[in-house]
Amino acid sequence: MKTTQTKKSHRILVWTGIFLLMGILTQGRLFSEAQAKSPRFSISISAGVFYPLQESFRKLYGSMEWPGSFQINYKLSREVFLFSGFRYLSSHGETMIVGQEYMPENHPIKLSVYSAKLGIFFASVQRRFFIFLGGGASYNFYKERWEETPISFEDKRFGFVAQGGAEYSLSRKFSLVGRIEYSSIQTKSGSKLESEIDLGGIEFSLGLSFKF
Amino acid sequence: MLSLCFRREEKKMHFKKFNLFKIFVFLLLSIFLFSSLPQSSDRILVKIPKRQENDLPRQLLPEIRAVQELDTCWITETSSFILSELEKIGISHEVLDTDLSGKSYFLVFVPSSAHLELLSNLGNVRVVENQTCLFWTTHEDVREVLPADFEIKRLPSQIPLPLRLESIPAREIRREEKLLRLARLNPRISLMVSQVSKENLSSFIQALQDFQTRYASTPNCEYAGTYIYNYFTQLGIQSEYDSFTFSSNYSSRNIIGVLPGKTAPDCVVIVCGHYDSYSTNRFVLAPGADDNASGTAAVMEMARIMRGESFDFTLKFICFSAEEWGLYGSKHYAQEAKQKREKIIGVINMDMIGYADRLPEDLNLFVNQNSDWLGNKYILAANAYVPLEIQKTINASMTYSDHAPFWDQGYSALLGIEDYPLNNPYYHKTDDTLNKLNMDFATTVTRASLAAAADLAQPESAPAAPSGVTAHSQVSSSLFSSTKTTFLNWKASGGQIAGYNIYRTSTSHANYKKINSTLVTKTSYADYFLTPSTAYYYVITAVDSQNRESNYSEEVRDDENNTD
Repeated sequence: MKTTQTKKSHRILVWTGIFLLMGILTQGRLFSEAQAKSPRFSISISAGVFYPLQESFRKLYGSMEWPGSFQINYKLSREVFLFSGFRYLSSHGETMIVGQEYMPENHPIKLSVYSAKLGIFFASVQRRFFIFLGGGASYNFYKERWEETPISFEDKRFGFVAQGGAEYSLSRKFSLVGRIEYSSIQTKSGSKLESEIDLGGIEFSLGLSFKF
Repeated sequence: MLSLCFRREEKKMHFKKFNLFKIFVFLLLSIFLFSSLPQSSDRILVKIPKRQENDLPRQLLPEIRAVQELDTCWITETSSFILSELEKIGISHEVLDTDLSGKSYFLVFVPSSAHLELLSNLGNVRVVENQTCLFWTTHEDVREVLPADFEIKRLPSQIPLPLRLESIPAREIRREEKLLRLARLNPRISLMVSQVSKENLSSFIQALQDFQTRYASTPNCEYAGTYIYNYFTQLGIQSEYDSFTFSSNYSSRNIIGVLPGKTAPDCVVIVCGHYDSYSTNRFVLAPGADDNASGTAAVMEMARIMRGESFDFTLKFICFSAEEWGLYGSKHYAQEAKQKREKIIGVINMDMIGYADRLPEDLNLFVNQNSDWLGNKYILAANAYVPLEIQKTINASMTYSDHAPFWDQGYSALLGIEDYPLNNPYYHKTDDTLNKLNMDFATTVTRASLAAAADLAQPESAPAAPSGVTAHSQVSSSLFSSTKTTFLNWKASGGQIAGYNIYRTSTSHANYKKINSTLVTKTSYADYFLTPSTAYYYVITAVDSQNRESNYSEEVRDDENNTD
């Protein structure tokens, strides 16, 4: 099981590498095509709702989380963009009893996940709409703490993100961003509840983007 | 044309139906054939050396039945399929026998190559470890086949043992100072110890010897059983016969005297020895003064003295029969005890405690890994009250007396014996008589055993120990951490109780540590944030207004009262 997941992680990293390499290699050719005066950078701030894919996660912390994130896009060409971003997810929940329950016992717990991501996306411009689809890798630091006790656990893991969405230009500089992002963070750690936890899920977010 | 088409369609349909019918019949026949095939037993006896248990895949464990634990290996029963799986994963093993049907296997102690050669001429032999052989023959009564100086134990057959994962090889532990921290001297135990009478012991041995033979299957053995039963009855303790059959339809009886406990009567301490005997002329003369009138006399003398005391836990004085045939009496009792879920705290088995080949003679104690705590407790108690040199050995292969069937069922038990290997030149001979014994040594061993038994059963204390202790445990979990909580409940002790102390250990019956900082005033306690994979054991004491602390309550395991 562990071997399969390690292979999967390696595959994710290899594909992300290939993805980025393609973008960088095509950069020179596509530069000429790029409009000289159009902005090369955009920064977006968004907030949304995150739905964890693992049931254990949902049982402990609920099925809706509210992460905040920002992302910087760098235009490599008209269609190819490099993105880098940061996301913070914080969630409160309660422990649960595994197996036989003798007496109700719930300890408040808090999970924090800090994710930095890097990837590439391909875009298509349709009048005022800018539609994009891409993927990349994430580096995640996560910490779970039993709030009224010294019990805590923290670790760092690479993960994988895939995102798609659309931007609607409000003006030359500003646009509205809607994004759907799938992430997978296989931690290779767990508890009596689940032997291996995946902190990934699907996130829907809305935000504002500024080009410069 | 149209009718032709219809006919073709009809034919096709008919053909399909016929095919379906054939398939159906074929399936039915297959099921019938498979179910009616004679069920091949396909069971084989395999030796698996120890220290490999952790490499065994969990899914294979239910298919491997450990029938005997020895010092360096397990004797297991499994199928040829599982054997091939073991081979694939590189678990070393040795096939001992491939056809188990209708056979009774015996472990035989083989002290020399001459014994091994002799044994080989009498039946089938497999050497399983140094000085231990597996033996089987077509003869129904193996005891009748083997010469007098062979010690035997029949392999358990009815209740397969779970393959326990923890095991260590034998090691001898000499007396260590750290073991000998002085136990709290109890004047009531001191008084009981002082009452052990050499004269009484001698008279019991003489009386048993006077039956001429106590070879199980002879009427005299039954008369000896009746004598012990009557003695227990005269003492005013509850007595009972525990009848069983053995070998080729012989029957005999264990004699049981019961002294019910006051605080936790369902917890039992057993003091035992076998009363049957054996010799080269066993049907006529087998006095068995050392083997084992000495141990039986100790049990009877302890019953006489201890009946006058009240203890927290129940004491059972048991004289087993048919030990010499292969531990049949104790095997019968231990199996039934397991089936009835009898809570046996510990078993003190005395077998041959009267012969001294040198002075001062020491007592050899044999325990297995699970019973190590009991050996330590015996040494502590004995040394607190009696000057006796004790040498403890952890050796799961020492299976040739009545403690071993208790080991087989997972109970803690020890054997007290004068020497092992045996040094008594009269062993299993017609001149194993009282005049060959050192009764001072027998008296000292009886005193030590009484002290240990009394310490285990706990003379009632003031304040009284808490009773009715129950434990439930549950595991709380988050995504990355899990902890166990144990919930303890008990009945309030009578009298002026200021509170209770809770003691916890992860080694049953040893190393208790107090976990409450102040006295617990309720009759419940929750112990949080424990490691889920560790088993914890608890005892509780009551403390009265004069700050006197009671005996420990019965020990409970953290999940003892969980329902699954």
